[in-house]
Amino acid sequence: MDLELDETQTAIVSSVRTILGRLAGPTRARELGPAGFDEALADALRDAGFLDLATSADAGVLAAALVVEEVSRAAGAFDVGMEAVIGPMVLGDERPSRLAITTDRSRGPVRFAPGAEALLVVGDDDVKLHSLADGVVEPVETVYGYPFGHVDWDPAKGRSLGSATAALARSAWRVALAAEAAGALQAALDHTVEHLSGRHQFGKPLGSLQAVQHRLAEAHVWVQGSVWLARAAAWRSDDFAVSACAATHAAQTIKAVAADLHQLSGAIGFTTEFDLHVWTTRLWALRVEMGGGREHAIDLARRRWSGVGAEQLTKGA
Amino acid sequence: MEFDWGEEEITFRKELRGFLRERFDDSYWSQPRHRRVKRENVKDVLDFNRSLAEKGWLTPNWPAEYGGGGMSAWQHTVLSEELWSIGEPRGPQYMNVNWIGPAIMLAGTDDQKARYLPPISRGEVFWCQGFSEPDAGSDLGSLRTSAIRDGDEYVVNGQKIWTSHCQVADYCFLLVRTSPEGNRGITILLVPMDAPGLEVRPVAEFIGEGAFHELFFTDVRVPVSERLGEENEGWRIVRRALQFERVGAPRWQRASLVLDALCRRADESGLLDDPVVARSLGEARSQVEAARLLAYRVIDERAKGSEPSAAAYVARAAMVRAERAVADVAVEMMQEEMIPIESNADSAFREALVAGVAAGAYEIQLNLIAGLVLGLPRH
Repeated sequence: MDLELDETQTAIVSSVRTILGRLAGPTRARELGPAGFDEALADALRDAGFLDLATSADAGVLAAALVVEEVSRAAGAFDVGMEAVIGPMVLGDERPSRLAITTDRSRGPVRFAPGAEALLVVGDDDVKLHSLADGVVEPVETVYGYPFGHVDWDPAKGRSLGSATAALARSAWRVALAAEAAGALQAALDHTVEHLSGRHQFGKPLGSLQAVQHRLAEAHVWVQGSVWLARAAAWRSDDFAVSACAATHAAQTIKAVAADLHQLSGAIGFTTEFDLHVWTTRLWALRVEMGGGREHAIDLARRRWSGVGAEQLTKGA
Repeated sequence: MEFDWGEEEITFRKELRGFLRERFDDSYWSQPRHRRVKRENVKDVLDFNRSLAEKGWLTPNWPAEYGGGGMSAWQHTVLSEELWSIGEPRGPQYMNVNWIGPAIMLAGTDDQKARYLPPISRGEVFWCQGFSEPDAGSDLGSLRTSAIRDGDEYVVNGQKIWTSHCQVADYCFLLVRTSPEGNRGITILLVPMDAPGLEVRPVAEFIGEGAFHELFFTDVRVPVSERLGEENEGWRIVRRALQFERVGAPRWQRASLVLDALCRRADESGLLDDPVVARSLGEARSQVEAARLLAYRVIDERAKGSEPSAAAYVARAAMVRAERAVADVAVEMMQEEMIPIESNADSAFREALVAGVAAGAYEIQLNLIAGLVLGLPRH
């Protein structure tokens, strides 16, 4: 057990931050708008090799998830979870360059469907890969931080990848979701703390009021739990229970924290000139994906798994 | 960064489980609740501690010169997890290992180390902590029990309260006031529980038989040689030692076992088909696992010999919330079956109540997180 970044991980995070510092950030995200897709950022990270880490022998899924966390923290606007984690874990190297993912029960629009070449549809016992011909995706207007589209896929079609792959896809999807939530949650909280430290009312910083401090401290506890579960889930990326734990916690954290950060930021928080929405609108989208926190939690409990104890979470006993 | 247990820890856990299985019957595993040490069973507890000591498992992570076993902080965590999950059969010993011993190592004289540490590592003694007072709970820095110097002795007068384990303790790790200046006027004295003028009275409570006591000090004379560290330096020593107290008890492990039991029960009774029950079980599980990982961060610091950071406050706060979540599931699932004393749901519920108050109230942890981690302006 070692909960500090090792040398390779440190180098990866530091280089990714340099690229993100140059090309990403909330200002760039605001310019692109909720439906934006940052090809330049994706190209830069891809060319530098940071989107291929999941299947690399000396990096692995945890390193890939750390990249997802960093990109999300910097509000990078592309399908980093799919490209860095889900795609490689589920389909390996032979995969379409732009993919979207949904469940066979979902009726809502699909994140990153506009522009995708194919769609992964995850069911209880199978996952199918559907090619997306021109015109089957109908973009949806939304404030929720990502490009979304309705997809008209035919359940009778699609290439079956089998039940083992379905289980893997569910874990991979949750690992990616949790990492993305972890990054955005940290950034949203940091932004709120900074704002409330500087904003004076009643002759003192709002952040000095104990009522405010306790809510921010509780938010920190929630967020840190999500961050560390996301990382543990990435380490144990094929373990259904740990990834379901991470996704469940992320959804609970978003519910507990995101609206509260707006509440504490006041009316300025609702404006698009204030950066907070860049992260919170995305978090709300992540909260409902894959059936949302309710499905993650029920799935976790119902698979009759009797205890993600120390052994399962950090295997070996 | 990696989240696997090492070979040493895996082997140790296996060996330890074998040892515990031989020693304790099934009830310890099927009823994962805290078992308090009482006068009637103190002999059994001491026997058990001595048997751990013989295997080098009582103070496993202490340096060898003080009777330690040269184990890593992670092996110590394995030990704590396994013992806490069967109700902590070491009794108050876990406090000795976690922070009273280390505080003596940190600030004790050679003579104090020689006299106090070996009996702890042999499993022969218990300590209690004389901290809280009727008017100094969360605001511990305002404590008033006084120690006035009289030649080579201090004369102690005052009252402590909420003290655990003192009905079986041999010594008290006592905080006293030696100067009026708030935190900077606090001194630590190591006091035998049979000192003349020291009286122990139980406090009636509904949390668990014999959980709390009051200590009354009337002209208790304590030799100056029993002072730990310099006069008025007690706060600094205690603060450091207590970083480890906050994650010293691996409450996550028992919360996790309680949830396992609830899951099995829900499965057998068909309640797992109820989406409300399934959801609350899943959510509580994720909170317990988050608390576990946040505690592991603190243990990771300890394993690397780093200065303890504010991560301990975050871990403690997460644990309090997680235990509440588990208790709520237990209560809602078990309904009237939680009513009989020491049913699993009853134990989980009452222990979760205590978690938010012990080792520094939840709100104190939040204050510390706000200031030390988030860097928010002082209020």
